Amino acid sequence: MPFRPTTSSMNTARAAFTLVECLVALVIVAMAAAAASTAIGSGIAAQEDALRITLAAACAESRMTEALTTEYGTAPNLAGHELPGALVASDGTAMPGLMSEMGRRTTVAAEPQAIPGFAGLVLTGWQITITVYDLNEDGGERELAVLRRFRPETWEETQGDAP
Amino acid sequence: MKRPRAFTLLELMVATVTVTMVAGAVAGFLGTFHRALRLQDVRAAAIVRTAAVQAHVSRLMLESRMLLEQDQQRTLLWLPSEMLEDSGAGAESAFDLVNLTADELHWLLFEQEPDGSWSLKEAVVNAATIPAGQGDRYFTVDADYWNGVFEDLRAAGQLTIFPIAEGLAPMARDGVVAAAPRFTYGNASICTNRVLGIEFAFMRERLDDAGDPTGEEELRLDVRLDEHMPFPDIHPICGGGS
Repeated sequence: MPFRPTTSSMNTARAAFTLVECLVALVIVAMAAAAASTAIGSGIAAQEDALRITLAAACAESRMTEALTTEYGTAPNLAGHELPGALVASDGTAMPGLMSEMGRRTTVAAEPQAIPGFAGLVLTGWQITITVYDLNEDGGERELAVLRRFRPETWEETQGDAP
Repeated sequence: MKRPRAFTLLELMVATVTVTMVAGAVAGFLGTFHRALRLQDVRAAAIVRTAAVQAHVSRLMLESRMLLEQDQQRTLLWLPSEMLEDSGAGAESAFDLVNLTADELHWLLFEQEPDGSWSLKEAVVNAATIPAGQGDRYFTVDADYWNGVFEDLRAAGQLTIFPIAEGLAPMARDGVVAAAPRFTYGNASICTNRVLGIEFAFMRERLDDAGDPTGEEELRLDVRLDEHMPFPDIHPICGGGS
């Protein structure tokens, strides 16, 4: 049967979105897109930080093992400050990529350590602290990794064979 | 009777253009979204694998006494069960000075996979596959000898090789990409070297619309690790006494 418009359908305006409805819908879509973009951006930035922290920890650990394995008496020679761009690997080559943007501070201090639970027992040794950082947009230091360990003085290391 | 009003050609054209622009914007956003998620995956993998490599190699170096082979793509770590000076008593006191048992040898190696990526692997001798009495090796600091041992054992199927990290790439320094991931050493002497350096990278190529690699780098992360041997043992063959 052919379509015949009735009087009522002809008199009623066709339903359609108003301009305001369209604008509201567009604003909602835009806000959702912006929120999604921000979330992704934040996630990427957080991962970038995690990556830098992982590499910084590797830089710090490398230096720490060097400080713990070098001759006891020469450990303080490792103290110093390597500026961003001047960080080098153990073979003297420059660090690559993100690692080259990091700086490293090494301190070796003689700090006797009391042993909890053993009254009067104090060990002499080096307190070694390694700090790895990079520079933020303002040029300020942003701490990425800090390692602290105590290297006790042992008889073998300082006197030769055990007594 | 009035005919229902239809869209004019101009209205249809404007609607088509608008829909096309919106669809284009949405497609662009989804593409960026997809690429960002993929990069997040690569970054997450890089974090986990870098930490895994460092932890694994640190543990091996902690237990190692010497590096017996110092090649760019392969190194051999000697992990005796005891220090030489504590080795046995009486007739057995010199056992470790001359003989290495199969379980004391651990190779680390970079190998290229069929898809072009690189893997860092560890190889250990599968003692069960070696006939009784044939597992011991005479102690030497001759790297060629150890290279031959590796090749012979591998050809005979007597090595168990497992991956430590996969999906690696050669490291770049000053914009120059190396030919392969590699090991570096504190010095060239097996007798005095105490440092193992490891250089590798994580790299993701940009893909075209068909999903094929374009040859352009979308992401690159270069990693350099240095591991020191805390408890080295100087074998008498090096002239330093035990």
